[in-house]
Amino acid sequence: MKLYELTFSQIRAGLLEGDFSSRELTESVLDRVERVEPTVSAFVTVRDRGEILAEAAAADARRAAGKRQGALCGVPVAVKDNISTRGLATTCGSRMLESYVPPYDATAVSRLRDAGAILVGKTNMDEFAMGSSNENSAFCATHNPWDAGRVPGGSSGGSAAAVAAGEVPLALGSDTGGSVRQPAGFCGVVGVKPTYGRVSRYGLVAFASSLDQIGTMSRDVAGAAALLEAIAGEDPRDSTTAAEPVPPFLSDAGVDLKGLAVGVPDEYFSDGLDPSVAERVRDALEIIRSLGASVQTISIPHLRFGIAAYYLVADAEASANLARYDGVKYGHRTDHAEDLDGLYRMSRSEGFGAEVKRRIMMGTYALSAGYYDQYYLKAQKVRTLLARDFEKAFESVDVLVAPTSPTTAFALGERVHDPVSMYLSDVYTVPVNLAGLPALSVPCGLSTSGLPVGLQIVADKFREPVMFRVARAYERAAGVFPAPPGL
Amino acid sequence: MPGALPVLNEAVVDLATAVALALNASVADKAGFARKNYFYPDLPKGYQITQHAEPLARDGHLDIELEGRILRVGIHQIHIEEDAGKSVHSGHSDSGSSLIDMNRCGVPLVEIVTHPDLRDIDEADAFLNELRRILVCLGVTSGEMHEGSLRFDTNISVRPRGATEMGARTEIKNLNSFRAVRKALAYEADRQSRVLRDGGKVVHETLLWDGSRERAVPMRSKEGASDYRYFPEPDLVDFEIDGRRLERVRESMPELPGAARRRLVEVYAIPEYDAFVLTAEPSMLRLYESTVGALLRRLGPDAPPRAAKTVSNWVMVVLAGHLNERGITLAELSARAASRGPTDGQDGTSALPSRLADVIALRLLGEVSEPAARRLFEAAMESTRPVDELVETLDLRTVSDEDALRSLVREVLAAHPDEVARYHTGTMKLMRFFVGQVLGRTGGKADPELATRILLEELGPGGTT
Repeated sequence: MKLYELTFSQIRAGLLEGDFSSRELTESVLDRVERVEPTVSAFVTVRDRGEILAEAAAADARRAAGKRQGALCGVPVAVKDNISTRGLATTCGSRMLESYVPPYDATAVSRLRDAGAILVGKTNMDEFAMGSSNENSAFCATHNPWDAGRVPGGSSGGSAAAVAAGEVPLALGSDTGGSVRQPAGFCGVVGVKPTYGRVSRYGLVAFASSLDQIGTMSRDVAGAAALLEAIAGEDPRDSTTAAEPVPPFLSDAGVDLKGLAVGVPDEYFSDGLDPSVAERVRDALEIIRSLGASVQTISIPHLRFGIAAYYLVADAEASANLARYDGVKYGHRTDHAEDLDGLYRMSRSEGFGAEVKRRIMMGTYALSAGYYDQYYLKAQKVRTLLARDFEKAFESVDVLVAPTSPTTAFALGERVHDPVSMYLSDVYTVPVNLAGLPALSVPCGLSTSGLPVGLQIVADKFREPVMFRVARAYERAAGVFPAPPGL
Repeated sequence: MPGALPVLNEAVVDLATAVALALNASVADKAGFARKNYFYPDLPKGYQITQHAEPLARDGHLDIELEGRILRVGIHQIHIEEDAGKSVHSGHSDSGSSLIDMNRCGVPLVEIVTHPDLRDIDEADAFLNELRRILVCLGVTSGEMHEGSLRFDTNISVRPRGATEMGARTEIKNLNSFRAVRKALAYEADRQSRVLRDGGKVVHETLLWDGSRERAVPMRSKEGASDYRYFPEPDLVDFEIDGRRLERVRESMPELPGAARRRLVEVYAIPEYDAFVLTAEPSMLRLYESTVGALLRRLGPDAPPRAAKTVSNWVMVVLAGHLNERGITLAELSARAASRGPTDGQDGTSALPSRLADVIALRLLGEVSEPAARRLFEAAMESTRPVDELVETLDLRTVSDEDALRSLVREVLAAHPDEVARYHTGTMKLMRFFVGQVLGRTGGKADPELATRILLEELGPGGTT
């Protein structure tokens, strides 16, 4: 077995036992990046090989000297390109920020550095995290490691593809409406979206501030949990972070699921669900039941309004969040403007892609005088109703289990010209963001066409431990999901 | 920067709450922020964080005294927002360049919105002056309009006499002095009146005051100025102002100028006017009260009833003149006095009041004449030596030796037989001339009252034609 194929659990044990060094691991990972990037295109930027290896060697030296080391000491990590990294380009997959180099680290990144992680590079994404296929990147499309003719999902498609392809064992993404969980499901890796307020958004380039959360990806549940532990916790620089203490997300207690109540929301198994996805999810539920959990059907009655409410709230916030890219201070500035209005119009016309423009227009419209009550306010009311649906569900169950997406990875180009069908691929993930809940996607087998299927596990606010417990128990019973063959 | 987030400055909430309490407004239990969206180069985020649906406080008022009547000005709301940057438009219009100063961006400010309760320029001026005093007293602002730490945007509308509905208003910005406010209001009232008289309509718009040309010019309209697309700011959480916080703010508030004025009149029996001047700045009020205190301690039970009024005169006239002449502030003078060495006050900064009190005490005791007292004050401000020592060194003590003074009086009368004769035939006002002569011969040190009494005795009864 090659080092790049190891899961985080294996890496942690191997580094601890001295089976291999961080430098050896990192070299293996970097070789893998060189080999598969021409096919996968998961990265926008890969850091200088020499610098990365020097950091790995320094981590080995620390370990050899018996010095205190962070939980991720010497472990290579990739970071989505909308999370600010000091001195390293952060493009958000946009022409607008193609040459933007942040002068500061996001809180999540500085916590990664404190934990000893080695930053490999920045991963491709849909422009400003708007998209579900990575086809909205201004630079290139990322390809699904399971089938290069298919999308990796989005918007954190680069991170998901990089982890699935063995280019890094761990990666950060961001999840506004499913942007970590959906690509994790499409690529067959574990993807976590924590409770809103669990991870600081400071330095995460905003798409929709009330929904955005940085999330984690890994081949195994333990990696996603360890990465989240490293970045979670209150941050005085983000007023929306919670003062909640960060518990160990994975305890060794409870290898089975005895005494746990699992709810299956009926509405998630409706018309649009691919039958082979439904089949894999039901198989997984059988395993969960066999581990001792009680499984019951519950209801999230307002699920069907989720997509509409989500796109109004998210786009309204985006229309304000993206106003700062005006050609005046940073980002793309047109060469063709003759006056101030021209500067704004041309810089934004040239700098933003079609989907970003569409969202800004929808968001602006939803906030406009005369439409605010009808759209934005109504969407907020739906949000409250959805949150209540979940609250009610969590009165009787510990977690909800459902499909992550209605389908498996679709073909590149299939939905590019049909925005609504693209939006509908988020139907099972957005309600969680609207309600501010934690959720993860864990692979649960292959569809009839041989593509990964994601199982979504949702918990109540700040109850990540129970979510991870179910995920790991399932993972142990089903076995760690394999890497894509033939890459 | 992309990814940067705002954080609420808690000190601003306390200060804004103090303003709300001072303006008798009701403070919300829970308040939150909103984004006000518009494009402008000095607004780097493309939106301003402000308060819209949930302001900090609403429905207040401020009573001001104006020519003996009380005018109540309604306060619509008080809210917190972030400042934008400053656009500096280049003087050379052909170069077409503008500079943007971003240093102010994100600096918190408190905005106070009144009801349309002011009917003329004097009312507006009196209101703004009183408001400024309150804000300076609360430590919310230095009150320096030219620095932009206090800014007024005025809205004005005119209507035909007797009309019940208010006319369309215009807003005037860029007013950086009280004088500019007066000028701009007069200009715009006149302009609007002329528009209406000519049968035109006043357009609701924002004007920029051009101080050098003394006219208001329409501002370049902001993009989408009519629709700011307000929505709740998702990056900040709502904040609460509970009873405990409100009480803490209330307890930490200093005495407000209005209350201080009433107290000065009541406690020190000084005229309203004096009280108004002395409460203009908190430092002035402190100086006044410390000086009166020091004076009363020094004089003890012998203090004359007019002591407090005398101090008021000294502070308003002599001290103010001294500052004016030197172009320094009271704070600077206090600091200088404190740095000049030993103080007999409690807090080490009271050198100034105690020295001022020493001078006034000598004057009230009649040990120095008025002109001598003023010279003594100037000397005391420039020196560290005790005032009682200075009076001797400078030989300023009043000549109150009755015999010596009587012989001087006789000399004066002998030297001016004509004036004596005219005095006796009815030109009583010559008494001032004789007193002046006597004082002149003592270098201003003679006690004028004593000199007058001796003169009356020596001259005998004046003419009664």
